[in-house]
Amino acid sequence: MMARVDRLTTVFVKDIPEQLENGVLYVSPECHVALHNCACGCGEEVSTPLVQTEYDFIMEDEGASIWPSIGNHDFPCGSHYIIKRGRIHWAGKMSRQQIEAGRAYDRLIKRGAQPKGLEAIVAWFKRLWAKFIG
Amino acid sequence: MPDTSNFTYKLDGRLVATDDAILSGRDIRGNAGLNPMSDYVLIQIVDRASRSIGLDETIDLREVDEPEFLSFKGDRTFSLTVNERGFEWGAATISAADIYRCASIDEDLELILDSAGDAVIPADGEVTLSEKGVERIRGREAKTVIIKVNGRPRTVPKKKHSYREIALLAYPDADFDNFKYTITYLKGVHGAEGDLVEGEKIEVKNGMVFNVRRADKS
Repeated sequence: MMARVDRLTTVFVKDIPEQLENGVLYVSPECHVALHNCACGCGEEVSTPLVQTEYDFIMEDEGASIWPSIGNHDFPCGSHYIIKRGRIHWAGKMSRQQIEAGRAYDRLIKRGAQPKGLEAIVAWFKRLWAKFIG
Repeated sequence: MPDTSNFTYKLDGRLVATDDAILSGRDIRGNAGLNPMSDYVLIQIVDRASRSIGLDETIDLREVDEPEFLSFKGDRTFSLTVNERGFEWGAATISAADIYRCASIDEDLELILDSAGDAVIPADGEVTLSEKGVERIRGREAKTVIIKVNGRPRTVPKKKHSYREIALLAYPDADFDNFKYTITYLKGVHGAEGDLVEGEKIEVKNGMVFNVRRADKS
């Protein structure tokens, strides 16, 4: 068992490596996805798709933020945390009721949402690259 | 007012303007500052084929739709055919990307090298040309496509893929009884994007992006 981490170093890549290193947040702008190993050190891989109905990603000088929280309730560890400016902010385990409410909301936005327009993608890239390069 | 509009052509991807309708191979090399001129091969891309342009050959820009040229340092030309059309090239290698572009081959097709027993030329690969033989290349309907699943390239049959098949590409030990997988996709056929749920299937294409999440959002 690896030790839990309290920070994630962001690495921008074209393709995500097959094996992830603990403590690294791999971001592929091309594939609209970020992956990292669960911060608790359990070794489970966490995928956070960066599309409108999934996660928001912001890169700042101090590090990356991903919203909403990472809720690994299906993993044995049950970890729940927020990634903010490269730091892990541990949150409490959620109740079954909270988990189900989150899932119901997820289904609602997915089936209700219109496909994301090109403008939104362009805006997303601009924000991302502005943070990344600028 | 006399018509003062000039003519343009592309050389090595850059747009060049000129007042002359008729240019020689010497003029085009000179405009590009290629010196000494005889050290450069000039190739013109013409209607899904290409040919080399000698120093004294002339081209009437009025007769060519969007004239395009490539220059190569060297004094040899190499021959190949792409979909039965003759190509001349100024280097001993040609990238698959150049073949797709110069021969206007749809990106969904795969390139095949006849002389190598119908070997597939990878989209990011290249073909080595010899001065003697003529390499024969053609495009054909691909049997497989490369998609990205959670940011990793995966080669899959070109067919409709189900929710479970995609989830298994991301998590080979996926447990559909106990876990929930959320699949979103982008860059699909005709730019399709959305989410793929249990019971659905979707056509895949080269470069299509699938992201599979096995955790709840809270």
